Amino acid sequence: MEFFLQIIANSLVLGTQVLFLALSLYLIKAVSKIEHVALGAIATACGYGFYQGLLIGSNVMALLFSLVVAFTFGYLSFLLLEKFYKNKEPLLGLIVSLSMGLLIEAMIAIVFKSSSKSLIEGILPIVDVMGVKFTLPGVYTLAIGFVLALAAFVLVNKTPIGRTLRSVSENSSLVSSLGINQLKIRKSVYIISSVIAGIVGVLAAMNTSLTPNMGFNLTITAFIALFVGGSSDIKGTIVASFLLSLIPEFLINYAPSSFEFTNSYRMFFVFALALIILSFKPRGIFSKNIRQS
Amino acid sequence: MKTKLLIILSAIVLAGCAGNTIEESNKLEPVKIGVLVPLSGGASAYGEEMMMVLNHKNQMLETPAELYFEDSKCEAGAAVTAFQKLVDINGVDAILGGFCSSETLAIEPLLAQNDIVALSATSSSPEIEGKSKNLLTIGYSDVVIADTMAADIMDSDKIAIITEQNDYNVALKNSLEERLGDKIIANESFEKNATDMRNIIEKVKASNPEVLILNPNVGDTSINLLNQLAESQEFFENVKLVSQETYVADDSRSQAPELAESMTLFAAPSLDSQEVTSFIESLPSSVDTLGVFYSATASDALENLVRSVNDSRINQTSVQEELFTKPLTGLSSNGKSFDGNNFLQGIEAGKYVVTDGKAVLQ
Amino acid sequence: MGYLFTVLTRFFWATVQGVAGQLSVSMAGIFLLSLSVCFSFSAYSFAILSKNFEFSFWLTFILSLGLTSLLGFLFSYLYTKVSKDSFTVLALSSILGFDAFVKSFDGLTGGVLGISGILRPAFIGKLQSLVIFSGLIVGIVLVMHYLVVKSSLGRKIRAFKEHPVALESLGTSKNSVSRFVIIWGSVISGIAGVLELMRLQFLDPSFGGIPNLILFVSIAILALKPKLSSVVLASMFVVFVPEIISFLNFPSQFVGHLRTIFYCVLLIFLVRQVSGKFTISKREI
Repeated sequence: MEFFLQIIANSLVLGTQVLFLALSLYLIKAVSKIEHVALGAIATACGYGFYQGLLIGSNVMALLFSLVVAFTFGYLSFLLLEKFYKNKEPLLGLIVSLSMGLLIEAMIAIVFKSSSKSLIEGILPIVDVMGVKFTLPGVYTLAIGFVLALAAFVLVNKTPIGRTLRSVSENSSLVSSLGINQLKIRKSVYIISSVIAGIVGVLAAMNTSLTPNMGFNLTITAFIALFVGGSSDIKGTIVASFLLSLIPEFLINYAPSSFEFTNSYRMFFVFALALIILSFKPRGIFSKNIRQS
Repeated sequence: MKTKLLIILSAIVLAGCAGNTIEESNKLEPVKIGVLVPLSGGASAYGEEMMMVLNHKNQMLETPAELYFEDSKCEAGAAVTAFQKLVDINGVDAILGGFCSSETLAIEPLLAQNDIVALSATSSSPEIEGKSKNLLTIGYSDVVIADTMAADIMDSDKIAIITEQNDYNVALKNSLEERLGDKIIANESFEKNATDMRNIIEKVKASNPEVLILNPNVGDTSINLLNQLAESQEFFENVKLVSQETYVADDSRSQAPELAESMTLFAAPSLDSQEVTSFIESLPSSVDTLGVFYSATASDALENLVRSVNDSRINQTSVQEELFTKPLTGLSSNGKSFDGNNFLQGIEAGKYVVTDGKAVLQ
Repeated sequence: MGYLFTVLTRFFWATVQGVAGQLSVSMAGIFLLSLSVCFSFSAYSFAILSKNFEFSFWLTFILSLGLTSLLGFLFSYLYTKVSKDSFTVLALSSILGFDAFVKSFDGLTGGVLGISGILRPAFIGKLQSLVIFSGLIVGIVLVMHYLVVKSSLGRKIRAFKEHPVALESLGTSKNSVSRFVIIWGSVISGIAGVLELMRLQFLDPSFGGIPNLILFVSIAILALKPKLSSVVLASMFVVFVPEIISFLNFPSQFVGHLRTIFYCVLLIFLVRQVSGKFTISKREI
């Protein structure tokens, strides 16, 4: 039982990390219909910004550096990808975003070298909750992730701001005619999404270590979670983020030993899950069949 | 216009490639050694240190060689292209490398075709044995470590292994599986350069092993793995921890010293002669990642390649003959020879036990 | 001369891969990011078949392309079942999925240790012969591509991207066009994979992957016009320019990342240039 609970606990932390990025992807998709896969690299860059601030000597500097990095890359992303929103070419935006992400990772590797960095030296502090162990950064990840998921769900589904967000990409001319500055909204969303990505970059780095391409696999999983959950359904995105983390872990840890599933099978299972779910539910796990005229 | 420019550009490139820059080797020409090292990717830290060691050693030689470094990225494709560039553009007399076993195996078919010898200082895959005799390595084979490790833990029936998916570590794991068989009750592996191994550790704990073999690569993953194991320190205090050269360096255990105490390590024999110590101390920067043994083998590889090329010119023989028929010189390979094999013979694994924070040779 | 031959061989298979990219991305507007999976899959199929069976080179080649076409068929089926965005997700994630598969099923694929000693047949034993052989294959692929582009099928493929409704109203099924593009593109990528395998004679999980994706997408975007010359020139640019750059004396920490930086900057620049010209804009009412 302890083993089962510990696997769930570790997978929940991983799932929350995926959730952060999936929410960032969701927000950008909501306003511009573009899948901004460079968010993982931006998360990594914010982690390195935090690290650089720590080297200078204080936590405040570290926070400031990572915020500056998030703002900068958020704004840069907006400048690069806005054109594809205007020309209604989201897939080209995906290509540019992917290139941007790889470029950021290459630059990080050049500046900071490929060897990993630790934000917290030594063994991490452990929090024991009824026999289940969490690392302290893992607890922060869960707590902040929970608050963020709730806030995003309420904001997007229940508030006028959320309705405005969704309408910006659906009918931009109508939104403009209502006097809403959609350019400002999109710019803000890019920056906020980068900040959210930066938070997970710092927390994930604290929980393990900082490497130039730590964000890539996380982004791809988040990217898949966005579509498996339904790219216009935030509830689905939240649920899918955890499903795609929990199910592969259970397959790896509980499959009969004759299968010899090891940890390296994880991305293979994520892909297989996505394939199965999207084949039966192309619009997401909570989608309903819509009559098409 | 653009098309014409592109065609002219391509013509220049092709002309440059085709231009025969191979100068005829003669006794007066300096020896040219091509070096394949990973300068990017996960193994770049090794490559950078190796480059530093070789440049330093080169200055110490009576007649320094011309060294040409190419980035092999620890990848087969990059290694093959880099090899071709070294042979055709730089006209090297011999190759020092590959670094990773995958690079070394990838360039093997090309060696006989190009009539050139490759001497690796680090490659250890057992697959190298039996390949072309133009391919030699003075790193020790994984078989040596596996034999010694397996003999030490043969009494236990409950052995768990955690392996990084890296060509060196997987080759060692395969050798251990052959020797230990059913005694292995948990056999987990994680992706190369992974940072979170907690679920694997839980799975290993659930199997309740008596012995846990830690088989990560040298560097960051080894430190991460030990730190994450230390989060369950009370469990692993009762488990015998065994590993390879990864944890010989004191730095690799410094963040979890209590857990690492009494860990048994199997690695290359200790090189603590005055000569080795002086060489390491004379280096411009530390070799924490590459380690003392591989710094010594890198130095020896260069020394012996340069000597063999010079001797082959004087004696009108081939470089391969010179390396094969004469004992080697150097810090780690002094007096040893290949005896018809691809691996240098006579290297035995050393057994170390971590005592008071230091890896002590037994 | 070996270096020249190496670069030429790379140019040839990049051209073949570029043809697949041009067909799917530029002509049909299908972001078939899984082409790099087909590239690797074909190479692995060839290597496994040649190591385990004693078929002739040509039979092994045909069988591996046949298996790759099956993979292409699976992707084409998926394309008709899911939305465009979801298909792009699955195609991109298939690269990581295949990488995980190859590393994990090590009994079949050799895992991270890879498969070594993949011998070339005698007629392409030397690198020079391989170059000639690759050149011939490229010639054949280019001729076939030309025939497709100039035929009514080529027009249907372009119509599929520009005006799918008109295509359907003229009695051509969108699904049949997409199926052809995906399967044929996969097979062409498979040919490129085998050519590269013959050069390396060694296979491990680093074969193909994201770098291959960036390479063929760069060629596809550069070769936006459905002309043979565009593909050839684009391949020349994408293969030769990084080689020229590698001769410049950059500090060692830059060296390994130059190719990635070059391709990414190129892609960002190019895609922004072609934005707006990729599809015919519809008149807004």
